[in-house]
Amino acid sequence: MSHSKTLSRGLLALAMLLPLALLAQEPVAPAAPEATEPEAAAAAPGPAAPAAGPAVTFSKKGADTCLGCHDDEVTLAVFHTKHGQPADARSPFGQGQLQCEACHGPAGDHTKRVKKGETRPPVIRFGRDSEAPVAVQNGMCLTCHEKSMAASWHSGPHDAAQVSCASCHDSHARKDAVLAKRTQADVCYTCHVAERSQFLKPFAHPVRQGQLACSDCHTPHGTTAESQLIKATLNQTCYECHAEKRGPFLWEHAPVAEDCSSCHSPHGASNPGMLKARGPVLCQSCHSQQGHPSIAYGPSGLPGAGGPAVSSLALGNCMNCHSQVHGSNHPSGATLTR
Amino acid sequence: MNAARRPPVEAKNLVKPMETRSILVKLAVASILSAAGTASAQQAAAPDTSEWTCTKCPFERGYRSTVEAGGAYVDESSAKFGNATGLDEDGGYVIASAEGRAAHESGYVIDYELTDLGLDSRELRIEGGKQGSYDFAFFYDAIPRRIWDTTATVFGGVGSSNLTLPANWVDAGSTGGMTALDASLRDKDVGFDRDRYGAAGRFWLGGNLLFDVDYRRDERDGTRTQLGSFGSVSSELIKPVDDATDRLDATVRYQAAKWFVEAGYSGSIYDTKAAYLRWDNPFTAMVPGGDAGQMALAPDNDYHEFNVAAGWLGLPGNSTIAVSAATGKGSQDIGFLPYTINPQLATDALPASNLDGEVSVTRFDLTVTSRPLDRLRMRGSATYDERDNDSRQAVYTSIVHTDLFPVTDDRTNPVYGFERMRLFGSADYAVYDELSVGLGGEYRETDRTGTRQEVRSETLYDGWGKVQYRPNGNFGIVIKGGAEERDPDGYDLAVAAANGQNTWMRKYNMAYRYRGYGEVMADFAFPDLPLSFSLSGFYADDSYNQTVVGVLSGIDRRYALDMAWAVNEKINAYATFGEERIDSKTRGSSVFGTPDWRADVNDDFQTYGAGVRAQLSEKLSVDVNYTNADGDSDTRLLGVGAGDFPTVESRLDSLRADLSYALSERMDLGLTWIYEKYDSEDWALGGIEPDTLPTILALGADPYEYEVNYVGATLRYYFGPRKLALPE
Repeated sequence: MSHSKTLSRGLLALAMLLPLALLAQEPVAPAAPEATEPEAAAAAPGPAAPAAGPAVTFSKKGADTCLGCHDDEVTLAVFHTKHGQPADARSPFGQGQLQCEACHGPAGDHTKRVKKGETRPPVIRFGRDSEAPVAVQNGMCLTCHEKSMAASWHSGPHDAAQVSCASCHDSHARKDAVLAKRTQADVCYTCHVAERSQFLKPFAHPVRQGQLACSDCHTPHGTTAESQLIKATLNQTCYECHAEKRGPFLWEHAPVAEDCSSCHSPHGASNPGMLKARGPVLCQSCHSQQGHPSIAYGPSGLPGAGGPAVSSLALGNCMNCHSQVHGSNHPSGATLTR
Repeated sequence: MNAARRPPVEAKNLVKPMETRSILVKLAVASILSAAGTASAQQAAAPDTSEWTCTKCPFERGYRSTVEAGGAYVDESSAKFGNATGLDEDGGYVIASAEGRAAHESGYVIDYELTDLGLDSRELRIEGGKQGSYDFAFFYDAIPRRIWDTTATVFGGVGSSNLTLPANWVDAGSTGGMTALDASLRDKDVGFDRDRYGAAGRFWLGGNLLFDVDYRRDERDGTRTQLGSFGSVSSELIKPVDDATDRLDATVRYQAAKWFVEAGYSGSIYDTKAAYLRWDNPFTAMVPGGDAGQMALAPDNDYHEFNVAAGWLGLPGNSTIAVSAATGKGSQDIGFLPYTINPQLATDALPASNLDGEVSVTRFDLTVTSRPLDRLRMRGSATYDERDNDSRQAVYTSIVHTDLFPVTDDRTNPVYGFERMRLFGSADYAVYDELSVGLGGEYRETDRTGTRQEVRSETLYDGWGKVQYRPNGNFGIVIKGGAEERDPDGYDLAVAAANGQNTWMRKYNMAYRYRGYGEVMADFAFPDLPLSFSLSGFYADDSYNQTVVGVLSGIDRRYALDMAWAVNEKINAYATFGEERIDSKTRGSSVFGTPDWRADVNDDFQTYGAGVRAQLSEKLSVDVNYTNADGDSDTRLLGVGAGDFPTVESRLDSLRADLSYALSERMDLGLTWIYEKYDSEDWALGGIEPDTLPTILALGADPYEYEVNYVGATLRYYFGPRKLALPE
């Protein structure tokens, strides 16, 4: 093993030991101690006490205050959702919870009478046109959802790119479009605009037809896998639906077990089978054996041109004979023809 | 100020009183951050939520549903149009869908959704549970895969593993001499149905313990195309697809406020009833006994994995650590077919009855994210991933090429594996609130284990820089650029020569590669206009600088632009445009030496579309969408055999209009019209009838082409309240 490999594996081992080292220390007490007595909560030390500035207050009656003005269909739609489930003590409308202000923040100032000429103080809004920074918006969601997403959100690129939860999710919709297979892709295309075009290519997974959602392959809430795949590797993700390619086979085709994307473009391609290129050029990017594998297959070999090379160009090209391109389990399949 | 008081929480509920106080304090922090320009802390006075009775809240109770029924008509049959939609045949279709909810004040909820019951793409989903205690879901999903409807075959027994020629078949050395061919052809569509069933559950086992289970079964039934050869002649066959994949994922997780541990199992079992394909040889047998052939289809296999994970939040420096480890084993031990079914060829005994295939997978992962300063965010991860192929290796001494020609040299089956390690790190620093810069890098080592390949190990280095500027909610842009180098640790020419390769060749997936890339994503909106734009662009330039024979270069450029326009409260419109261009160059040698030809391939794909959604009146709404997608692929050969191939083209025009009219408070009329036209030209397919190619008996599939009108009309009836409204 080379020195660089030894060093890199040593670093990996040390990195693995890091959590143990941290566990050996007492974690720093969180800024919000979990008091067990109601009085302690009132006295709970938050950030440093202000020298000046008005205290932020909540509304007088919670949702009954908010609904006095906000009774439109969009606002009321939250009661179709899990956020509006009073029987779940965890939800904003659970017993004793903060209702609208659990997400939108203290609304005491927002609900007070506003003097003429003054602007009504806002509450936290969500979405692209919100004045609240993404960190604030996401902080509200993660107040309740961080436990379930644990460390995955913070390790993902959406958090790193400061994408707000509300960029994808709509808590005030009877049906959150991103949670439904047939409408999810349109939400993702809002930012991933190029992928909309890719799925329109002649050979693509059936996302356009509403039969596959982006989340069938990707985990948008973050994961340690590359490209936010649902499984640790690309191949394992592909095998979820294409288990017949998993093998192992008696005669393996080396790049197949290593990386499906050596040959395929899963978002769509102009070639059958979502191949990045078609044979024989695709195959000749790795195969150069003497004889037919390395011949120049020009247009004189096309059907009708009369050239001898037609069997390597038309229909399945190289796969006209080497049809078991993903591997063969036949004792005579060494050349992937059986 | 009194703190919040609430009735005693039931022991079985997850939330403890302390969680609400935690929420209060976090809200206070959120208030701090959102307060403009203030650097001092503000503390939220805790409200007495016992008085918040929510009398106006229209909680959902009882039952509601929507039932949709009607019909549709498609005026042209097309496998391509029907692929995944189930609308492949011309004629009438029943359109039937329903959805609904039953909700009880105790918190029990059941949702159901039935979609397109009259089509081969029907779906069923039932979800429910008691939120916070358990959730469950059952689903059924039918995905029709329609491949060809312009194919014809001379073989009988399609759908089985035995394809036979008719009794009066006349074999010949080429398709031109098959005098019984035309009379023997029978139209046969190719395609299969994928039926997916599943059940999932999530159970809170008290306190912080969560159990997740997810089971899914995919059944495929139908046919696909498969080519089968005898020496230098080949036939397009139709092989059976009759298999099932069972998947199970189960996880137990303990979630504390600041840490979690998790253990899980993930398993997959693939089972097929079509283990082989045997077919009669339609060509004159080149050797005695070569009248039939047999190939092995994908074998049964399974994979089982156990994994553990843990994570810690809120560590020093606002850090998060997650670790995971997994070990898995895949196996495959299907009994071998014989070397050949040619009765005239004697063969040795097989060295074993099956492969005894076994693959071991091991994986470790460590991810750390940290925010040591308000303006600095860092991420790092280390991943190790190993595939060990422990399958039996043996010497196969009687290999017979295509059931005709004994191969004189013995072959040992290869076993391929790898060990991969990846180190990743990135840092983003907010120079100002509006501007942040980032740097990142990645280091990867890949060792190919098992049977020797030309490149035993390689290292990949990747580095990038990023600038993100978002001065306000109306404009944001991210620009990223970087370079990546894949550096093989030598190219083993002895292995290449042993594999019969031209020693000038560098395989595309192993060759030295330098990649420069850049990406931009931007969105902007006019402050006083209801107009917003999203733009993305990507560029990657791959150079295989050390390759003499093989892929030399690949350039991928793509950009896309989306526009959204809220014309007014009742009308929304959008437009999209995108283009991707991929160019590649590959060099080859027809003299098994230095290169004497080069293939340049240029793929160009453009899409554009537009749509409008309008609420024309209180009762009438329309939704119109148009999409166009044009693809051209050109291949040019230079040097030996020079010439330009005809362009491979695809053209899609799709227009869809939906209209909804409220006939009454509870009933809507829905009308849908879809017009879709698709044309393609493909020199590899076009004009190739079963006997066009002398050495290939083809199925005669035509390049995809259709012009379809779909018209549908349905009535939607709403049971229960259509909208929630405040109590009187």
